Amino acid sequence: MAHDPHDSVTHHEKGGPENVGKSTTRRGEDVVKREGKEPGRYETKEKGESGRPAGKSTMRDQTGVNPVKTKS
Amino acid sequence: MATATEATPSTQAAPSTQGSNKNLVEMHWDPITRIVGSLGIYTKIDFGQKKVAECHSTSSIFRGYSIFMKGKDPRDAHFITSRICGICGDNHCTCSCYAQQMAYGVQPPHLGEWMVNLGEAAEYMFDHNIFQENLVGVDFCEKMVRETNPGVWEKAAATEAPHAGAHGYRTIGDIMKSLNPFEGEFYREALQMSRMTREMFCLMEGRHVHPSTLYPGGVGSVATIQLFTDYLTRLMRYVEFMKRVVPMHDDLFDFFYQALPGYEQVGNRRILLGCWGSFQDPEVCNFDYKDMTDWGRKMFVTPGVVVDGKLVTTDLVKINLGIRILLGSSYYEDWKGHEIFVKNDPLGNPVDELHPWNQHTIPKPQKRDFDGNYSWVMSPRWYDGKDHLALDTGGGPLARLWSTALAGLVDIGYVKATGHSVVFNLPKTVTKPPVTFEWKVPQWSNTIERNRARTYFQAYAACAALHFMDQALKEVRAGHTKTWETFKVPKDAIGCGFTEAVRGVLSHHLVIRDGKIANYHPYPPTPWNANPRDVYGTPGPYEDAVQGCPIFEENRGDKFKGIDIMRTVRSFDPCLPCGVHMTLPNGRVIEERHSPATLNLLAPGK
Repeated sequence: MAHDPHDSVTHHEKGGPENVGKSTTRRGEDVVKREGKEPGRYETKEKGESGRPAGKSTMRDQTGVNPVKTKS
Repeated sequence: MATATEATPSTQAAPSTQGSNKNLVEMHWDPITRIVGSLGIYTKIDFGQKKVAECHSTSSIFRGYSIFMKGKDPRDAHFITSRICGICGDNHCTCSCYAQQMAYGVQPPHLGEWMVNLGEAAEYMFDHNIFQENLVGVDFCEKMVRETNPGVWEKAAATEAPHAGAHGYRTIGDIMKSLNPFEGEFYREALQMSRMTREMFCLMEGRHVHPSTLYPGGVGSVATIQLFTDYLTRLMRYVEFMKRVVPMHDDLFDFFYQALPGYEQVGNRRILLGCWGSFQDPEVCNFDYKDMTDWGRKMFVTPGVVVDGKLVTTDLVKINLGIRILLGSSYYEDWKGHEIFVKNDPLGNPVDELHPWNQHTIPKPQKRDFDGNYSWVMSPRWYDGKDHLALDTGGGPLARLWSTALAGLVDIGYVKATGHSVVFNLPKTVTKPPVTFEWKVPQWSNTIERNRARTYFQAYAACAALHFMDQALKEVRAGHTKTWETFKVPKDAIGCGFTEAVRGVLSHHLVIRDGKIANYHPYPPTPWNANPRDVYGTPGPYEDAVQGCPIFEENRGDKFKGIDIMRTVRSFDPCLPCGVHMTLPNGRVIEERHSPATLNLLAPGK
C-alpha cells in the first residue's frame, strides 16, 4: 500500500494502526483450495439473469458416514 | 442527563436568536443515544412562545473504525465493522459483505442470498419491535402522559379506540396503560416478540448481532427444511402479532393529532429523505458496479432520494456519486490536497474528493464550542448538482416506505408499492383471517409519522420474509442446497455496499491495494441524522427537527421533561438517555440518575 506522507494517521512504525492485528482466521476459500470440496456436493449450471453459482448435494452431504461405502 | 439553566434576562445564552426574550431557557440532554450514549442535544427553549429556539446536536466519542481498518485483511472487514453497533451489527456485516462481493467479483448462490434476506428481515422485526414498543412506547404510555400532559390523559381515558375490535384495547387510555414499562401488558408481550425474532435471526446467521455464519460469497448455515420450518413457525406468530400492532398504533398516533391540535409540527422538517435500498434479488443482482442501477432498482425495498415529497432518483450509482462528507463543526482536519484513492468509478464517472472512497479521517480533538466545532460526527450530505442536501432517514422506515411507495417497483404479492402507497397482504394465521394494510404517503416528515412508519415497516419486513421463505424453500426442494461460493481477493480493487440499517441508510466504501485495505469508510444512519451544522451553516436533521419544535408539555420549571423534544429525537431511533442530571436555574443539582428513563418512571412518588 502506498504511503501517504500527508495523512497524519497512516504510519508504518511500530504501534501504528496500520497492519496491526493481522488475521489468522481459518478461511473457507483457503480450506477448499487445500482439501477440496466437501464430499457429496457438486456444481450445477449458473442460475438467473445474474448468473449466480448453483450447486446440489447428494446423500453423502447429509452424514459423516459414507452411505455408498456402507451399503451391504 | 438533562440539564436546565435559565438564561439571564440579558439573553447571553442565545443573543443571536432571541434578542431580548426573557423566557429563554437552556435545556440539555446528554447523553441521549445508542452510540455508547454519546449523543447530546443542547437546546434553548422559549417558554413564552412555547417553542424551541435553538438546537445543537453533539457527539463526544471518537471511534475511528476508518483508521484502524487500514492495512487489514479485507476478508475481516465484516467481522470488524459488525462491532460498530451492538444492536444492528449484522446490518454492517451484511453491507460489508456486499462491498466485498463487489470488490472480489463473487456472488452468493440464490439460496445464500435468500438466507441473508431472511436474517435481515428478522433483524428489522426484532429491532423495530423492541425500540417501538419498549422504548418509544414509554414516551406515549399512561405514566408519561399523566406526568407531562394530564389533560391529554383525561381525554385518552375517555376516548374509544376506533380499532378496538382488531387490537382488544377499548380506549386510547387502555393502549397507553398497556405501554407502561415493565407492567404494561403489551410492553411485556413485545419483549417476548423481541426474543422470538432474535431466534429467527440466529437460525439464518448463527448469532445475533454479530453473525457467525455470514461471509462474502454467502452463508455457512446448513440449509434444511427443518431450519426454514423453525423460522416460519415463529414468523407466522409475528404476522399475527402485526395484525394487532398496526391498528393499535394508528389509533394511538391519530389520537395525538386530535387531542393536541398542531402536534403535526412537532419534529416536522422539510421532506428530505434518503433510502439506500434493502434485500437483494439474487435473480438480477450480480454485485457488479456497472449494473448497479438495474439491480438496485430490483431490491425489495427501493433505494431513493425524496425531496419535498418528490422522488428525485432511484439510481444507486447517482446516489453513490452524490454522497459528500462535509466538515464545518466537527473535530477533524480537512483532507483537501491529500491522496485521492478513487478518481473515477468503474463507469468512468468522476468521484469527488469529499466522497467516502476518498475520505481521510484526521481527528483533531478540541474543546466543544457551539459557535465553532462541537461534534465528532461529520456532516454527510447528498449533492443533487446544486445543493448539499441534509437528508435524514426518517428513523429508517419513513424513508424506506416513502421511496418504495413512490417508485412503485415492488410487487411480491405480500407487498405491493402503488406509486402513492404500500399495500401489505398478511395471510391467514392461527386465530385471525387474512388482513390487508395500506401505508399512505403522509403530509409531513414529523415525529408522529416517523413512529407510525416504524410500525408499518415491521409488517413490511414480515411480509418480505414470507416471500423470501417461499423462494428459499423452492431452492431447497429443488435440491439447490449450495449457500456459499469461493472467491479470491484481488490485489487492487474497489467496492461499495448499500443497504438499510434498521434506523436508515448504510453504506460501506472499500479500497483494496496490495491485497489489503487502503481505505474503508462505513456511513451508518446516525451520522446522517445526528450531524452538526456543516460548512455552509446548514443544521443537521436532529437540529433542524428540534429547532422550532412547539412545546405542548404542560410542565414547567423543575418538572419540565422536554417530552416533545425527546419524542422528536427518539423518532429518529437513537437511544434512551442512560443518566439524567437536572439543575435549577441557580445551578443547584436537584436530581441525578443513572438508570434507563423507563425505570425513572417507576420511581416512588412518580
